[in-house]
Amino acid sequence: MAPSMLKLSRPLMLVGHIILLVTALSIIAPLILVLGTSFKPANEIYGGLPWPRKFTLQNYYDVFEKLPFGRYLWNSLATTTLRVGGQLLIALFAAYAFARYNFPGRGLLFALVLGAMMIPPQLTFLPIYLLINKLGWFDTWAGLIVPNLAMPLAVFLLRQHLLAFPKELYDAAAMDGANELRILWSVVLPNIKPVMAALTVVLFVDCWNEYFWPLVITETDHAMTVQIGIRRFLDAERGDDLGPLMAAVTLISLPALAVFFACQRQIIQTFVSVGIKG
Amino acid sequence: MATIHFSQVCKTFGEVTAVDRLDLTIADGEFTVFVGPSGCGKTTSLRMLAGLDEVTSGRIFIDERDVTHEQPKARDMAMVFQNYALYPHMTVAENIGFALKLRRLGRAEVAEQVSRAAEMLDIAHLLQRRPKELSGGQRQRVAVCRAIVRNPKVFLFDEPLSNLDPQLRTSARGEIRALQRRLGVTSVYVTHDQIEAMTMADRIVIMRDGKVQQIGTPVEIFERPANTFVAGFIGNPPMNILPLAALGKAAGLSPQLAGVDQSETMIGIRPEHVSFVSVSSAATIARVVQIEMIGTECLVHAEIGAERIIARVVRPLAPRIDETVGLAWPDDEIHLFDASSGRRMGQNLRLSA
Repeated sequence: MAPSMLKLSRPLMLVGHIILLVTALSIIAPLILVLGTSFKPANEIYGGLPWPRKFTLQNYYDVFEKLPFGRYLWNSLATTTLRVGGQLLIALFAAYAFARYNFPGRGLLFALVLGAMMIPPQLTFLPIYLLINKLGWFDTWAGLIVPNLAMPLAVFLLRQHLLAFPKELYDAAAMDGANELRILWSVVLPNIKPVMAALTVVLFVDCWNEYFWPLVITETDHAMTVQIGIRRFLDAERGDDLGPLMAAVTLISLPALAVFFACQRQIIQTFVSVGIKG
Repeated sequence: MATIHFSQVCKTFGEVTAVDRLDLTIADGEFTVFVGPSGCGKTTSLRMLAGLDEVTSGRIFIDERDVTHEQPKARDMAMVFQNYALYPHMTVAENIGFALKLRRLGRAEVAEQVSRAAEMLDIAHLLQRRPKELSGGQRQRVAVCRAIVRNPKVFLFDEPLSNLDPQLRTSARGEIRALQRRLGVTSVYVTHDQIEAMTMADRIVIMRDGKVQQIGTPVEIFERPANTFVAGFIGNPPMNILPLAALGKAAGLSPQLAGVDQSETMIGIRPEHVSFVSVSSAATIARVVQIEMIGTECLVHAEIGAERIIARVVRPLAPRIDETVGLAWPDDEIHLFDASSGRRMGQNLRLSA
C-alpha cells in the first residue's frame, strides 16, 4: 500500500504479530463460546467442549417461547433507530451552525457542548430520571429516546469535519438560489456521507448496547429493551438458563453487525482517503 | 440586463476598513473590472454585490431596486469562483442544472437548457463526468457554463482565471469577453492581474486599501493615471516615478516644467518612452547598471545619482553595462504628480488635455 508505511525489523514484527494474535484471540474466544453454547442442548452446556456435540436450535425456539422476545426486539430496534436518527439530525444542525456562522456566544456555547461530553452519566441520571417521571415518561419509548437526543460527541466530530468543508461551495449554492436547508441537504450532506456513516455505526452500537439507562427507566414489556429483557434468563434461585441466554445474545449482536456492514463501504472509503492524505 | 449602482458602500471587519465609501455606477451591458493588490477590497466589493457579505453602510441598487439587504437568491446574479466551486458529488450536467432545478423547472427543460449552454462552451461531451475527472481548463468552462445557463441579470467573476496556466488564461479571457459581448449581460470581474484588467474591461476600477483610486477606460487609466499608485500599478514594467529634482538640469530645460516647484513634484515616465542619446546633447546623464533581455526588447536599468530608471528599447539600441548614457523622452509623454499626496497635477500641461 502506502510506500511510507512504517518499516519494522523482523524480530519486532514477530513480537507485534504475537501481540495482535493474543489480542484477537482474547476478543474472539468469548464470542465463539457464546455462539457454540447457543447451539448446545441443555445437558452439554457445562461440558468440556466450546462447540456442541449434538447440534440443536432448541435454545433459539426457547428465546421466543419463554420471553416476549419479539416485543423486546421491537422496542430496541425502534427506539435505537429513532434515537440515532434524532442524534444525527440534531448533531448535523448544531455542527453546521457552529462551523458556518459567527454568532455572538458561539465560543461559550461550544465550550458548553464540549463540557457536556465530560460529565459522567452517573452524575446526571438521577435528575433526568426524576424529570422523566414528572413528564410521565417512565417505562415509555420517549423516556428511552428523548434524554439522549443531544450527543455532544457527534456535534464535535461533525463540526470538525464541516470546518474543513470548502466555503466556496456554500457561496456557490447560495448564488444558485439555495436556502440554508437546501444547502445542507443537497450540497453538504452528500459530501460528508462517509463521516455520517461512521457516526451512525458508533451511535448505533452505543445505543444498542446501552444497559444502565434502560434498566432504570423501563419496567414492563411496554418499553423494555432486549438487553434488559434477557436478564430474565438469569435467575438466582432456579439457576441461570444459559442456553437460551446465549442464543439471545447471538441474536442481539446481529443488528449491530448488519448496520456495520451496511455502512462499511463508506467508512473504509474514509480511512482510505485519510490514509492517502496522511 | 441591469444597471448596478453602489452608493457610499462601506465594509468594516472589526477595526479594519475593507471597503471605504465606494461610489460607482455600472451601465447596462458594461464589463467592469475591479483590480488592485490583494487586500484592496475588490473581492469584498464583489461579495457585497452578490449578497454573500453584509454591507456595513451604504446602499446597492440593481436597476432602480434597492437590494442592499436582500439574499443572493433574490438578486438574480450568477458567479464564477476562483477555484470554480463545483459540487464534487454531482456530474457536470447536475452542476450546471442545479440552479434550474431549484427553480423547479421540469426535468426535460433543465436537460435542454443545460445541453444548450454546454454546447455554447464546448463541453457537451463532458456532461456525465464528475468535477474531479476534469482538467483545470474544463472545470473553468463548467463554472462559466453554470453561470450562463441561468440567464442572470448580472455575471460576477472572482479571479476566475488565476488557477489556469498562462497560455490557457490568455485564450480563456478572450472567450469570456466574447461570450459576455454576445449575451450582453452586465458583468463585474475581479482580478489582481493588470493585463486581464486592461485587455477585458470596458471600464476599470482600481482599488487600494479599500479606496477607489481611479475609474476609467483602460486607455484613460493608462494615459492619464490619477496618482502615483495607478501609474505604478498599470503597465509592465511600471512607470518610472522620480523626484523632479533628481533629473538635474533637464527639469529646468523643458518649457513645460517652468514654474513647477521641483522639490514638491514627482515626474513619471513610462519605460517605453525613455530613449538613449549622446551624452553631450543630453540633459540627463545616467549610468547603466543592469540589462534584462525580454525578447525583441530589453529592459535597461540605469542610475541617475541615487534614483533608478528603467528604459524599454529594442535590442540593437541597448547600451552596455556600466556605460554612461544620455537619456531623453518626448515632452508630451511625461506625467507630473504632487510629491506629498501622489495626485496627478498640472492640468494645464498638454498631455493632460
